[in-house]
Amino acid sequence: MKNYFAEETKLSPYIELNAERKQLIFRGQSYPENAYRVYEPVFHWVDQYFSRDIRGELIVNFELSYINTSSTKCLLMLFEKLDEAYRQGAEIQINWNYDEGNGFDYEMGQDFKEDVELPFRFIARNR
Amino acid sequence: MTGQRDRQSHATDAVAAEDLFFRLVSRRTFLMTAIACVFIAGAVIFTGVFNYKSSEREIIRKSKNVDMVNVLKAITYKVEGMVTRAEDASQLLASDDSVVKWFRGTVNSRQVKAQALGRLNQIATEFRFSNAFLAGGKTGRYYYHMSSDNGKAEKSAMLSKTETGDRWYYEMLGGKQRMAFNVEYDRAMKDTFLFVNVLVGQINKPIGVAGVGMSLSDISREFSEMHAGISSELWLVDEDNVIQISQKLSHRGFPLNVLLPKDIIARIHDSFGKKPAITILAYRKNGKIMDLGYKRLASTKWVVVYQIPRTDNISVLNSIKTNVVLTIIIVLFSVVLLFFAVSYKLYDPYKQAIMLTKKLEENVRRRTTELVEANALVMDSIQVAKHIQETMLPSVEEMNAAFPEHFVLWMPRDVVGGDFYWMKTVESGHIKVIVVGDCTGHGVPGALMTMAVTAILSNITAVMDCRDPVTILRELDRQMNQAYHQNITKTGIDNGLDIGICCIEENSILRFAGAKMDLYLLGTGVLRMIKGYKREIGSRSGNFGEYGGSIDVLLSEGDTMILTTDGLLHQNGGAQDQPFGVKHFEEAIVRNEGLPLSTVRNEFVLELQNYMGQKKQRDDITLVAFRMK
Repeated sequence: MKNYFAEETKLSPYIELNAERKQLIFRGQSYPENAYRVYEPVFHWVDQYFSRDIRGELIVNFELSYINTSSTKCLLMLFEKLDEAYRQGAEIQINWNYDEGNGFDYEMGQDFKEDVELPFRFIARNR
Repeated sequence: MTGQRDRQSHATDAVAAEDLFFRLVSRRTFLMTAIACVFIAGAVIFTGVFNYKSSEREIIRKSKNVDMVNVLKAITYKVEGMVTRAEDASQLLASDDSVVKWFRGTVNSRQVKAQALGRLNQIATEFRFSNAFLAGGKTGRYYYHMSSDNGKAEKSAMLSKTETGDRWYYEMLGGKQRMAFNVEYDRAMKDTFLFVNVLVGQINKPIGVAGVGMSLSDISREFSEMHAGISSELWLVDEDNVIQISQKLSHRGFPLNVLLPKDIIARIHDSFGKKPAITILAYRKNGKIMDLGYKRLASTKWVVVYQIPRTDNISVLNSIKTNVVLTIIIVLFSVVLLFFAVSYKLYDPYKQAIMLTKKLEENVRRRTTELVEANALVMDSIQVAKHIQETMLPSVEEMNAAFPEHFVLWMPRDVVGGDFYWMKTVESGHIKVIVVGDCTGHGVPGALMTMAVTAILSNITAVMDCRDPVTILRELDRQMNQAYHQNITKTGIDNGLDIGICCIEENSILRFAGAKMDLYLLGTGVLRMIKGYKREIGSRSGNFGEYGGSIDVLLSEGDTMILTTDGLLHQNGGAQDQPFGVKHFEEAIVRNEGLPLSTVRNEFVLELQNYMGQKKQRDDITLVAFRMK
């Protein structure tokens, strides 16, 4: 299965979808005009990943300092997909890295956590 | 739109191709010109040097084997001819009857003497000798002919044994040799001569000496005419290795060993015992190669030596060398000139860069103009959209009428935006509905959404109970989903919105319902935050039954309500480039408590500007605050 990489830009985060390491990474800020275009490859990749093995392992690392409304919606879609796989037996771990001085990103993680059954680990980081 | 983009990318490709073409052509041409020039220069130098070397070899060979031999042959021929003629003339004079009779003194001497002297003059004139003489007889006098006066006057001098200048005569008489040469200064003629002396009478009983003299100056002059080269030497050398005759008068009487190396002298000396033959050899003197040739004269015991420095001998080479060097320089110069002309005039990279830059600038200018035009078109249309959006927003008069003390911060990130605020008074002002919304997206898409949402809000509030914000919220959600939701999966665009709705009844009861928006309520030193629901309107996961009833708040005079979209809370800035944040926002509200709202507005704007610094506005920002009287 092909890995997927997207470089970090001013408006979109660094995205790494790595099948060998069984991990996803989202790092940076996310406020693109068209969030769906940024996250569409992620949806396809995740669908494909679990279609190969519904009980697959996956660690998802988030380190996003800002997420705009439309990106939030896309991430919500992603979490729903992951939640679905989790409920079917996939071993998924969400690592939500947040900045203690930020305030925004922790709240955002908490909001996501409320909507899903996925195990969340909150990791504080000091600048 | 697509066509335009295609056209632009074609243009870009064309420029790139052109650029590549110039770069390749110029580099290749430059390289090829350089290589060609190097080849031409190399060929010219090679042929020049080769020609020079072969010419040098040929000339040296010729000079050694042909020229030297010819010169020597000519010299010996000439010298031998002169000597033979002198010998013949002397022999003729010595064996003349009248001379013999006169010197014997047997006949009438006066008549015989006249006859003999006549013969002397005759022979000298006929053979064209500048000097001829008769010496001896009973008187022992020396009679001579002077070519200058054609022998008209009789000239004679007394010979004396004691006179060194006359010694030759007595040596000749006692020498038992029919013929001898000597070089002597003639006192009477005031010149040095090569004399050919022949005995008169029997060899054992000589009665006198007759002979002719050749002026050494004349011989030297002849030598000079024969010699080739400035530094050449021509000598007649005797058995004692002494120079007898030289083209340079100063060399006369010099021993050879002063001028030549010993082994060369030995070889020259050897030739006396051999048959006359031409010998050519070369030796080194002071680092210079000298070509030397010699030949023994057949008739005498003298050797002709001819010497010339090779540099002189092959002096023609110098002119060849000059020509070759000159040719090479001219060709190289022309080639270099050509190269420079080609590379700097035709394919000058600098010129090309300028040319290319001009072309690119032109392209940029053209495209900029196109873009400016396109942008102006779009901006014009957006400006019109802005007016439309502004007319949709409540007017200042309406707001003032409903909320005497209030302020609004409406700051779309772009010209238009997805944020809006909306207000309606119903039942003659007894009920006021104030709404702040944030539709997904910014700019034109966001603005389009606001139009739709405000239209729906107008409809809902016209038909439903305006005292209950939750009812309005639910109905809005229902209609939004109905209108937009079916297309979400197709487009991937989720058309939702955050909203905060306040319904105020009789200026004393406030009911609030929010979707992802909270209400800030500041009253007598206490800031309360009334939370909205975490779900937004139009969300595809929408299940709205869970909305509870609205929250009722009893208002007192001076209570301040604030609704804000997330644009302000999420705006990045500060030293850490982090979101403005709720905490920061709440601090700002408390800090400004008690101030007139118009002042608070300015404080908020200042606070936000300071926080943002040079950062760009990230989202649409809308804030509505009102205070109860």
